[in-house]
Amino acid sequence: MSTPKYWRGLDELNQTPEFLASVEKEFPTDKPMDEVLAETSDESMNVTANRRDFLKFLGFGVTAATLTACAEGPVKKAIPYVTRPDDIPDEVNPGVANYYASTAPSGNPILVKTREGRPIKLEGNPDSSVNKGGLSALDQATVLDLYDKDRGRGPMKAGNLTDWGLLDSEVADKLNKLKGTDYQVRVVSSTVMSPTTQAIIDGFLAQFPGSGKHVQYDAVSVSALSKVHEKGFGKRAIPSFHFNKAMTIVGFNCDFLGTWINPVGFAADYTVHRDPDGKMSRHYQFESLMTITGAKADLRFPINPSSEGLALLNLYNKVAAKLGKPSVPGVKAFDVAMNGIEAAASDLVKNAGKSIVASGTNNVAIQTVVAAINDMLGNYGSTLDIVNASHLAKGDDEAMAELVSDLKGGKVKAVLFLDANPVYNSTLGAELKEALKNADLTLSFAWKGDETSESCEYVATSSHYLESWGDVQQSDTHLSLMQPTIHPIYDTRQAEDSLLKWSGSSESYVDYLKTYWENNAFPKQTEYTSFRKFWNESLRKGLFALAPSTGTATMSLTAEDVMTEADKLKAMANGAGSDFEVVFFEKVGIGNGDQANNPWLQELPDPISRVSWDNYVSVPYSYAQENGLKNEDVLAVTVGGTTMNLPVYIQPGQAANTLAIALGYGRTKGGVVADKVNGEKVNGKNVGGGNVYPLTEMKDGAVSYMRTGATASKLGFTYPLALVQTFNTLYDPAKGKGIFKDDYDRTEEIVDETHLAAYTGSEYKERVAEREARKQHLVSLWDAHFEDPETARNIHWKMAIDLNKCTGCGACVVACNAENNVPVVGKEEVRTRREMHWMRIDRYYRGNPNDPDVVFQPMLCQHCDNAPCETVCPVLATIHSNEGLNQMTYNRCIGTRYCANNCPYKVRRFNWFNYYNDNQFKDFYTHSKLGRLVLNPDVTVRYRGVMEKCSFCVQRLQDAKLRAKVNAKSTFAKPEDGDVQVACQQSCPTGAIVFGDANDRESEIYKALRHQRSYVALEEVKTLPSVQYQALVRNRTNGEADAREEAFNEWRKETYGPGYEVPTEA
Amino acid sequence: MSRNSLSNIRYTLVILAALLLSTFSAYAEPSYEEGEQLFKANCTACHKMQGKLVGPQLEGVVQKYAGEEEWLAKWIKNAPGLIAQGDEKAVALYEQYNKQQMQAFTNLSDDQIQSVITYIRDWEPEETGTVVVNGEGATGDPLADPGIYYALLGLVGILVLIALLLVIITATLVTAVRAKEGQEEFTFGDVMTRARGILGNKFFIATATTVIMLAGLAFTVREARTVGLHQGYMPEQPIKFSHALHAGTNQIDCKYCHTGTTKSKSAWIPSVNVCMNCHMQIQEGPQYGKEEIAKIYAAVGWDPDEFAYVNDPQPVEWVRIHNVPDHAYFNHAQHVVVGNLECQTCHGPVETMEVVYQYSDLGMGWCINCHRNEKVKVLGEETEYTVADMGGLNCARCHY
Repeated sequence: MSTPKYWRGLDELNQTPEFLASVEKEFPTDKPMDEVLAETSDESMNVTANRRDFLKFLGFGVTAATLTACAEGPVKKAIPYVTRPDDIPDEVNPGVANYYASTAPSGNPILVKTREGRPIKLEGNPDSSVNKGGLSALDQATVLDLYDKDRGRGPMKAGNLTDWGLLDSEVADKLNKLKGTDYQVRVVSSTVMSPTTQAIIDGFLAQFPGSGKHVQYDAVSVSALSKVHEKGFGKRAIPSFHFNKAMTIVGFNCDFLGTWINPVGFAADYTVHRDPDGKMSRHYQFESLMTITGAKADLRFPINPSSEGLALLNLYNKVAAKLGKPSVPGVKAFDVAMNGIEAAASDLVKNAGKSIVASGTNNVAIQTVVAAINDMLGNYGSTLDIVNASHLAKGDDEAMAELVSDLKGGKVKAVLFLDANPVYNSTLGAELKEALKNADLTLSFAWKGDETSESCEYVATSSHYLESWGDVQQSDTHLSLMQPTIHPIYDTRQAEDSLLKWSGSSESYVDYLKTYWENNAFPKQTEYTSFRKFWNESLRKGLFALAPSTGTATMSLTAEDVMTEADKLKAMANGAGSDFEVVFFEKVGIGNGDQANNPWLQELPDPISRVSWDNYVSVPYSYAQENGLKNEDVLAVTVGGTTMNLPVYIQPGQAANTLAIALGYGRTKGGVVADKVNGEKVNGKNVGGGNVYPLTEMKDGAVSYMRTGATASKLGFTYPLALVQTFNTLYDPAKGKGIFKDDYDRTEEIVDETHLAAYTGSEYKERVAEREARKQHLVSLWDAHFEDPETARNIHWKMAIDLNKCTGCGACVVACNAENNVPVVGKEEVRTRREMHWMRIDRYYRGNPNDPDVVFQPMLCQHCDNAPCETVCPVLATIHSNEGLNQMTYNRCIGTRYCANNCPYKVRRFNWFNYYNDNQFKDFYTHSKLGRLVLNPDVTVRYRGVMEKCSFCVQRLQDAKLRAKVNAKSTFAKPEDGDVQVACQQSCPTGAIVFGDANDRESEIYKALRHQRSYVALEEVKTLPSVQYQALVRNRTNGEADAREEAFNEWRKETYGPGYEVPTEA
Repeated sequence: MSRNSLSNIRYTLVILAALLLSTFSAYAEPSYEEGEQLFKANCTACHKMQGKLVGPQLEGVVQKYAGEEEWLAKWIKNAPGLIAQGDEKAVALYEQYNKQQMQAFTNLSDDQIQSVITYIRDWEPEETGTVVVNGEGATGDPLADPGIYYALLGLVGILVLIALLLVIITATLVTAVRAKEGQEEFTFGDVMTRARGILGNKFFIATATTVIMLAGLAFTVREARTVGLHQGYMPEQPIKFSHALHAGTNQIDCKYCHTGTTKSKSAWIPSVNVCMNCHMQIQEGPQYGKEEIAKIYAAVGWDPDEFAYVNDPQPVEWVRIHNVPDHAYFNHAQHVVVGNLECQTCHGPVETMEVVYQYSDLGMGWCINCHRNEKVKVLGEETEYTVADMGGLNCARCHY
């Protein structure tokens, strides 16, 4: 049996008949055409059509079209401003985009693109050292939240809209009654990074001396980390991580590239030393789940969650031994395959002071050992900075637990929730909801409906952050500003304004903010002498850097402290039983569930599982094999007395005996989109959805996102998942027969991968030489495609994507959706392979399904010079431009779909519906007037029946060219290299995408395309793509690479029987 | 150091200084062209060279203040300042013009003001009053003249008459010949029989059908091409704004109001505050009196009696005349700044239009023709390339 080297799903690995059949067909036929024709919308009739009806409709349609064509066009109005705001030059230029600096609530500094005064796209602030210009999928999607239909429309009392005057007076009354009593007042918030908001909260609570308290918690907590640093350094904070200074990185269940603390900034820093031609760091990852961080690791080892403590203690002892320091006694020896812990320890010691050990587990004992290892290695002060600490997470799990007990005891009489939804996303949510009934005043500042505001009497509906002022302090050294980019759409008021009012102040928050900055930030700089200038400039840049403290901190954790904590870990490791361990994790595109009502995020397939639109239980491959489980089988999982029925997703690389369920699902008051992922009744049982926050438990003063003792049983029916992993197969296994050698593996034409030893040695050079030799055989019907850059007059737009830098985080996908008005189609349509994303990130596995390697490959229109799509279009709707673009002209397309059929990369998308007015999509933003405000006015909204695909953001190219020409007043002017950035490139935190004019010999792209790692996907079809990839290089020795290959071969022999012959390397 | 070398240095220094001075003076030389641009951008709202607008006529003004150029420059730069300082001449002028102040132009440099003065001094009226219109539309479509259709109709009538005459003559002659030869007289029935014979001829039927079908097809294609095109569209506007008066008679530059043309995709219909630059003073028009101007005041909330903004503003809902479909991207800045095109090339003689109408058909064929035929201009100089040579026919230049 021939198996592909790279595979995206087990069905592809095993070449099942279902998989082969699905590859055969470009478009699925299991959905009858009738359903498509019976579009229900305001414009058409709700009928199912047979052939006769079709002819009737055809006749009627032609007549109607003729008649309407004769009629007068509709009268369109043009309404100019009465007074165009021009006190700031070019403040509002209709038709011209403005960019304002602001800050996303996650702390990432952003640029907000506005058109005619409405925000339409968010980009990372390129000047910021927090996120270095990149922006996560979650943050980018917040612009769509602004136009959410389900937003709060004004202040509410007992679930009904009220007015601000009434709310203010009633709240003031209730607060006044509490003044001077022993009853307690609480402000409950998620991490407050804003110094002014903090000051306002403190000022508000100062009205209740001795009885007012601010409780901060994080939905997904890292409070153990700050607790350990409080103990060790006397400062309750999390350290700033400098992955850019680390040469050895050891992660334990720590998804720092995907979800942990500041993934965007971490990814940018991490990539600094991932250059196989320069410095290449070495990354070990020990994890129970498969995460994108594990996917990028050089060596990844699946371990059970409960083994983490033991693994860490072993690492501690090995490092200690090498450094000649005392070790922890009585630790059971433990190591993973290939002696991974030993290897990690020696690498860490080799790079002492230039390494990071990080654990994502919210457990005090584990974080103590991690801090001790880092301290032993001298990492504090270089790669970890606690002196200039990070402010990104300040939550305190114990304070939250205390709040619930205080509420229950009737001590707390007033609770105000600020950016907090603990009824949904805290361990004690249900108890809290019940306990809230004991309070006299319950109020939420939520800007959109949520579970907590539902349980509150009042909702002082806050404005969205894009409508608000603010400041954010990401760390001791970074400050940034937040400014409104649109007038509040509804009758909302910023929480800070409300709190100021209730503190008896008549000052507006913006004045407060300015005064605060005048007194606190302005004196810390010398550049400006007038505050006005300083303020305006800070607002323009959005950023303000504070001088770092130069002091050093020494850890005061004693050996005894470490021993005490280590004892707990020893006990924990021994506690692992035969039942399942369950991990509750954050998904890259769902986060903590706060943005559950955002359809961009729900439709973004998870980078690892490639499932969109649903929750599932992720099970290890071995368990699935033993129990005959398939994807979509429903499993009843019982954890701590609660049973959830979830569809199965089989996750290669997940540790044996471990189950994983994502946080962020099961929102009951999230909104219409969030409701879509709450599952449904199948066979009388509720399947899917499910909120697992209540299943987390307080352990040793921190919330644990892991439970032991879970059981699972198969229910015998299935639940459909929108699983896209094997859609868009780039090759047809059947078609290669007779053309290629039988054992020729076409997946090797898609992914080019090697390891460092081979790359620096002669092995990869041979591959390069072969590739160069093949280039002589390239032929094209069109001479222009071989234009010599020396003499070329035209621009040739090309793109290079470095697979070594791509972390698969999906930021580019959301950026593309926002930039290009890509519609959301919903679960059903995704399932029928009708997703509309112009850009997708293909995830390939390689090797043993129990422990595979993972490769991410962003796939978009390759803008082939010999484009197969162009030659088959009967109406010339897709043709080549003189700048190398494969143009798609919607107004010419008649929807034959030949082009999609002929595209080897499967990147063309057909509009099956009018997503903007078909009632099937009525819950998505394109269907509502409010939601449509997010559309980019420079990009056509495509009509039903036309093909679409990546255009290389041609609107941005045209804009850059125009700006160059207008500035030079010459039509011959070209944009400078770097003047134009396509949306995906702009959003990429790691700079994996390079784009530009390949005919400009000074450009980045010119150099990137000539890099020896540069290759094209499916070279053998000779399409001459304008998108080139750069090979993935893992930092492995030949021995390590061979060992993994050997393990794979062993597995294959075992699985496919003794007759199986391992294919020889080509 | 010898004396000789010292003098050499001095010599060099002098030359250098002279060179520097000459470049400076050359740079500071007031230019007529610069003055013209500045004049159009800043002055035409209130002044005309000939005739009074808000301010007095400017032809001959410089000559009038001969010898007092310095004062004139000061006045142009900051008239309100001069008046406030109590400058005698300035105050006198202020009184003379009913305490109407000229706005300050402190944003202009002294050199720029000198350029404006140069332009006003050297300005001469143009010889002809005709409007120069560039481009394809300028040659005028002869078929647009209805006279030609009457002439054609007359011609056809004459031809039909001649044909009738010939038929009658032939018939008479044939009858005469038949009578002479003793044959039967030619009756109407015979004619019908013959005609039926011809009409029943298969070849004839085939030919006729083909001709009719081809003609019908040609007609359909021709007409179908105009579907969705609204050339000549001339809707009624909420305010009877006359471009003929403003752009024609008063010669206000198009870009004074339509400022977007140089920086945006859209030209921008001016916001009402732009109207108020002049109409704060001009309360009555030559054609519609106070009625139409009152609509501006209503929109912006201005009370002309109290001379203050008192009411809530109400935006003016103009009817959009030029509509390009959503799937086509058009950018004014591209054509006005980079392409160096006159507004009239596409919009026609707007300065003669009492009510603006759509001059060009704005169809794709019209766009493409221009891209194919017109030579690209760079900084006013025509090059040998057409837009098409530069990729101007690529779909994705306009469709994305």
